[in-house]
Amino acid sequence: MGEPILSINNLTKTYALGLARRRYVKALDNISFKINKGEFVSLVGESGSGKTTLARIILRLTPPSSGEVIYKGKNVWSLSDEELRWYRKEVQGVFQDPYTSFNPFYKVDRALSVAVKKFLPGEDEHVVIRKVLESVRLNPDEVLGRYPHQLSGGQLQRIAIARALIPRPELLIADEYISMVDMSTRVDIVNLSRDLVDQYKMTIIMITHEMNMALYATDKMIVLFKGRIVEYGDTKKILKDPLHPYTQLMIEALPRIDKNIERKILQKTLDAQKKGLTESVRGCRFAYRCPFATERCFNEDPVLEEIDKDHYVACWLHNRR
Amino acid sequence: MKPLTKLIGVSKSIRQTLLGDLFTNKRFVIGFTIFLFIILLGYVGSLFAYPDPWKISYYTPGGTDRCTDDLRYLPPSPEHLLGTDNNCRDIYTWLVVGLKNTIWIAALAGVIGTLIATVLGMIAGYKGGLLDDVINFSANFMIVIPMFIVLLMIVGYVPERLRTSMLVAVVIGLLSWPGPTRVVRSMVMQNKAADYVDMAKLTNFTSTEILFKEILPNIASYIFLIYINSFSSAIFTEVGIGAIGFGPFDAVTLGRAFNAMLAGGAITLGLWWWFMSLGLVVVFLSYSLLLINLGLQHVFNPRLRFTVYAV
Amino acid sequence: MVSSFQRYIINKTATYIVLWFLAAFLNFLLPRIMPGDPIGRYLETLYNMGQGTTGGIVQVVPEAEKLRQQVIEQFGLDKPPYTQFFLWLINFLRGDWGYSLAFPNLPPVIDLVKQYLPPTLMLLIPSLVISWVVGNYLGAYMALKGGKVDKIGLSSMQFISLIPAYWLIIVLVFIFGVYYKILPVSGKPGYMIPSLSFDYIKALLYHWILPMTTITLIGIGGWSIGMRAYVIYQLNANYMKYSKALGLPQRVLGRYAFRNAIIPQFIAFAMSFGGLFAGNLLVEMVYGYPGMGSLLSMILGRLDIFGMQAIFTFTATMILVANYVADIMYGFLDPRIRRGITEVVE
Repeated sequence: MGEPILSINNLTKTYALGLARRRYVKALDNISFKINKGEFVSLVGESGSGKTTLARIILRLTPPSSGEVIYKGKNVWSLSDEELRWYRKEVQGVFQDPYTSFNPFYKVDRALSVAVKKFLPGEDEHVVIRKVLESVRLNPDEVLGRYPHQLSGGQLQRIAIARALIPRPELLIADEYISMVDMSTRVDIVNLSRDLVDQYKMTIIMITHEMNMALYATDKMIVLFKGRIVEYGDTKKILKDPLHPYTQLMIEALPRIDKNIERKILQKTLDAQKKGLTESVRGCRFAYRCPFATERCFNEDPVLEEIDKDHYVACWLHNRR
Repeated sequence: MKPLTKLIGVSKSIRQTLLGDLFTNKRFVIGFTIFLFIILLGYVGSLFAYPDPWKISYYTPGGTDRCTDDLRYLPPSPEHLLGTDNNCRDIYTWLVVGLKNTIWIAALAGVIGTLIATVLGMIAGYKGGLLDDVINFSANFMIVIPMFIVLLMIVGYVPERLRTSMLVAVVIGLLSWPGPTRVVRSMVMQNKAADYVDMAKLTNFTSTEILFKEILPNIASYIFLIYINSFSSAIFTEVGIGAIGFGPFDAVTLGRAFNAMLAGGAITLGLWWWFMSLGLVVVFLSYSLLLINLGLQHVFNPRLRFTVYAV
Repeated sequence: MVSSFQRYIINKTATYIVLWFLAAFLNFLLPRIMPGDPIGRYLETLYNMGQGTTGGIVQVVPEAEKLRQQVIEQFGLDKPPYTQFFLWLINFLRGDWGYSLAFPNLPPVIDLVKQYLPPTLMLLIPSLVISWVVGNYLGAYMALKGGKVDKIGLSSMQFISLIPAYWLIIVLVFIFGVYYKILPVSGKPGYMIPSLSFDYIKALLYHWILPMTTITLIGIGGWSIGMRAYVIYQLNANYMKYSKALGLPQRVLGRYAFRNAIIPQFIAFAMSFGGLFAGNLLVEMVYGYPGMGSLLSMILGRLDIFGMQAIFTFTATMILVANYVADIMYGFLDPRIRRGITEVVE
């Protein structure tokens, strides 16, 4: 593996809470990882884990509270205007809801032709659009000249991908791009993404809450819980041997441990919810739901540690020190 | 995100079937018919009116400019469709001329108010931050104090000779932005949060391009609704201040005609055609605008809950 | 540690104090930037009242100049503007509102307000309560009944709410005063001097009926439209569908919807005071009812800057207090604020 194409260093995003603005919540809490060129990475987490915030910070749509995003050696949040135009060409995104990703006032053609005008001035709009639509396996004649509401979610999401591909980006951030389309289309879109990585050496970060899709297609996996990375590494290794109890829960590997433990987790979760607890205030964020939690888990933040080659986990159970 | 998926239904209506939908909408058709009728009353009706509302009794042979008791308070007749007033002037002429002038004043006031609201609402909604705080605070402040009282204050302080139709229109317009600004602001904020705006940012759109090419077309239909509202409430306002003698001093308006009617003692003398004609024109004008507004809302977005604010 | 509800109250209180200062400042500023010579106008009124008419204007010029100096000194008009503002503000808070230039005998403005405010409140408060109760009941009835009742009801309520109050009173005066001759054609209770005597109150009540009916009728239109919309919104809410699926009787569902829909109407009740006050001014002016509207019509147009300043500031104060109460009520009624439950701002 060569130089990382994208490095996330100590990224934190804090949101103010409520009308009185006296409490703060960390959507992202000191996140760091690196992504190499040509990798298909999945970022997995439940809602509220901060994964969409992370995507928006990388796409330069939401500013971080602290920390940095380095793309090809440049800090993304301190780019000059010209560098920003370059960055937009290099890094593109696709969003969750295909229905709101297109301006309802215009035909879908506009989203594509504007992208050609902005990114590939001088090229033949018509040719580029047809080619890119075909590359996402759409029939241009079926979708061109139509309004967003006249197309299906799957079609729209493919057009959104096509739009993102027009500047020929190196890095594609796909934020929950399969969660609102039907099951068969999901597999198609994930396969398409896999092809983009394999054939064009593109780098894709797929953000999802669906563990099975992430396991199915990606090379690397980052598991987020309440704004922190709990496990991170080679997808195959994580599938074979999920270390963090939360990852185990996500992979539904729990039967392997004990039915009783699963019940315990559920009971603990419910108890915590009754008390109004949605996360632990100190220590491991997962501790309040974890059947293995010790005193230490409630008091000290676990550190992300390399357990095996390309397999990191932040859990006191696996800490060797 | 849900409200935006609702908006998707709009574009089809706007682009393809807007007119068709409108003219099958009962409310709109009734409202539009009444509105057209009243406008025609002003414009075609003025063909049957005397050219000068101030002139006394045209029908006497030779035309006199002395107002004598036998020319005062005449009942409706073919010469004077609504009779004459205490100054021997033709009431019908006052009605149609007043109607035309009031419509102009209200139309101008509506344009000014809506324009300010659109600009401020777009800035506040899109830029956010301190500008938004300032605009929002001022709008809330202005909403708390009824516009009519501020208007009374201003016209109370302005000397009579400066109180022209133009000034009244501008003042009404300048005072009618707060409510509409909040509506535009919230619509811009709602659209700004939509993914298509993020998409535009990823496509290297500038803020100006996003605001004018992406967001504005989507809220244009609602800005039109706001305009109709402002127009309607400006009519109310003009007639209101005119009725108590603080309307424009340079022209005959509906408000002025109201004032003349009150001063002329129409009520105690039981000249019902006088006050009924003036009142019904105002009531039906605003009612027709309300129906048009409801019809348009229905066509633009059936499920949108849009508050109609009247004075 | 202050609770979030206390914080909410402190926040609102501070906001309204700032708003009040702004309103007062605007009232202070406006007459000073407007063209016109209030003192000159006052002196003119004086002459027109008789003193100067026989001699003619020319002869009294030196005398007028002397009188002008006297008035300027009396009101502190020669001091710098900010001193004038704070002087005026402090005096306003102490109840010293200056003297009305609109009347030749320069009565204290506060006395005028003391005299003209009670009849207005006598009109506004019962009208607000009655139209609120009746309007809410009608609105809920239309919404729950649905069908033809709703359709016809809504259209007529919309129509009623669009009738200008100052015209409706004309029509009512014509019907009951001129045609049937059972109610007075003008709001002025004869030539009686306003007082708390039984005769005066009786006369006032007699003249109170028509304006009261007018603003109440129009108010019912507005309240019922609002309530109908809220009830329909509640009826379409998910909890309602759930309760329906549970098999709760229609009557109980209606009660649920009503109870939830009435909350915003409580808040709107206090907030509507300003608009009602403004609308009522015209009714009073047209009918001649001896309230704030009539007082204002006497003061407006005579460049009575002290009268206008004081009355507009007082009116703004009343309206701000009503809105402040509404905001605090909102804090009480909204459990999110009351219990300090917070949401993520994203």
